[in-house]
Amino acid sequence: MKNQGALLQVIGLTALLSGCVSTSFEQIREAETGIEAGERVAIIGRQNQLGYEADASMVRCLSHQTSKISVVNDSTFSDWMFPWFEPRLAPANLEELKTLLKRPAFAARLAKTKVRYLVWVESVANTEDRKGSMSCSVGIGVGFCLGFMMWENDAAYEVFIWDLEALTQAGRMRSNASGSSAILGALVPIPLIAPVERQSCNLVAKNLSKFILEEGNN
Amino acid sequence: MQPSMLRALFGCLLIWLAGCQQTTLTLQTRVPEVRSIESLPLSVALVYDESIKNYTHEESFPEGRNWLIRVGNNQERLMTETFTALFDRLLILDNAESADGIDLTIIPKLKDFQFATPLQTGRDQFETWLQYSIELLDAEGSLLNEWPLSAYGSVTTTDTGRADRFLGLAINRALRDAMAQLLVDLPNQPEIKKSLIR
Repeated sequence: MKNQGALLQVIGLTALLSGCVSTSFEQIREAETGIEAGERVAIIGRQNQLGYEADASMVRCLSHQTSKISVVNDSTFSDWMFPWFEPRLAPANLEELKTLLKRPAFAARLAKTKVRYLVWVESVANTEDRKGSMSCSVGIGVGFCLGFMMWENDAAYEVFIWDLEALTQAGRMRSNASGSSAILGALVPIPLIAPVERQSCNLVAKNLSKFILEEGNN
Repeated sequence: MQPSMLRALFGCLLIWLAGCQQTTLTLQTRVPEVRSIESLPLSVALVYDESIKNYTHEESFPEGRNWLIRVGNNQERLMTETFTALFDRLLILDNAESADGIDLTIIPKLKDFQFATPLQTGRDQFETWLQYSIELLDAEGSLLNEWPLSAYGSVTTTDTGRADRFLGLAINRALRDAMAQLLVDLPNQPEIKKSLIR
C-alpha cells in the first residue's frame, strides 16, 4: 500500500511536470501589411552552407498550422523558383533580393507565383539537462522497464516577414516554449512529453495570419 | 560430419552474411523545370565523360555494410536538362571534336564522391560531397579553363534504420546543389562571358 502511494506520487509529479510548458512571444511590426485575394504567403526554412538549417519539422508545422491565408510550403516554393532559393543561393537580405529582381526571368517567375509575403523561419529544438536512469530487460516472453528519466526541452522560432510588393521587412516574431519531459518506467515505459514544439508553433501560426491580415500598427 | 557441427557451421555462415550487408542505391533525382533563368545565346557542344555517364561508387564500412551507389545515368539526365535550360542551342557529342557553328565545348567530369552516415560523423546527419571539374574548350577544341565545382547535400534524421533512403536524399540534395551552381555560376565564368561578347 505504501509502495502504491509512492508510485502514485511519482506519476502525479511527472504528469504535473510534463504539463508544465512555459511560453513567450514577441512581435515587432515594421510596416503595414494586408493581402489581396489570390495572393500567397511562402513559409521557408532558413538554410545556409555554413551548416545552419532550420528544424524541418518545425517549419512544416508552421506551414500546416497557419490558417486564413494561402500558404505555399518550403519545397514547393523552392521548386517554383529553382535555383534561386537553394541553400547556397537564397537571398540573405532584402538587398540581395532586390539584385535578383533585376533579372527579368526571376522577376517574371516570382510575379507568377503570386507570393506577396516571404516568411523566413529560423527554428531550433533543444533537449538538455537529462537526469535519472532507466533499465529495461527482455527475456523469453517477458519484458519490463524500471526507473525514471527526466529532461528539459525547448523550441524556439524566429520569423522574418518580407513584403515582396513594398520590398521591405514588414515585421518579425519570436516565440519560445520550454518544459520538462519524462519517461517513467513502471514495468512498461510511460512517456510524458512536454509539447514544446507544438505550442511554440501554434503561437507563431496564430499570430502570423493575424499580422498579415491586419493592417496598421500593433 | 556431426549434425551439431553442421548446425554450428550454418550458424557461423548466417552471422557472416548478416555482417556483410550490401546496399545498392540507384538514384532517381528530380530537379525542377528551370523557369527563372534567361538562357544564354550560345551554341554549346556537351561531351559526357565516363565519370558522368557510368559513375558507380563502392565503399565498405568497418561495421560491415557495403554500399554500391550508381550515380551515372541519373547524373547524365540531370546535366542534359540543366544545360538545355542554360544555352539556346545544345549538341551532345561523343568526343570533343570540333563541330560546325559551336561557340564552346563543355566537358563535365565527376572527380570525387564522398559520403558519411551518422555512424561516421557521430551526428544525426547523412552527408554527401561531390567534386566536379567543368572543362571549357574553345571552338577548335583547345582547353580554356577547368572550373572546379563542389556540391554538398545533407539530411538530418534520427531514423538510421532507413539509411538507404536518407543517404539517397542527401545525394539528391548534393546533385541539386550542383545543378543550381551550374545554372547560376557557369554564366559568370570569364570564358562564357567572352563567348557572349564575340
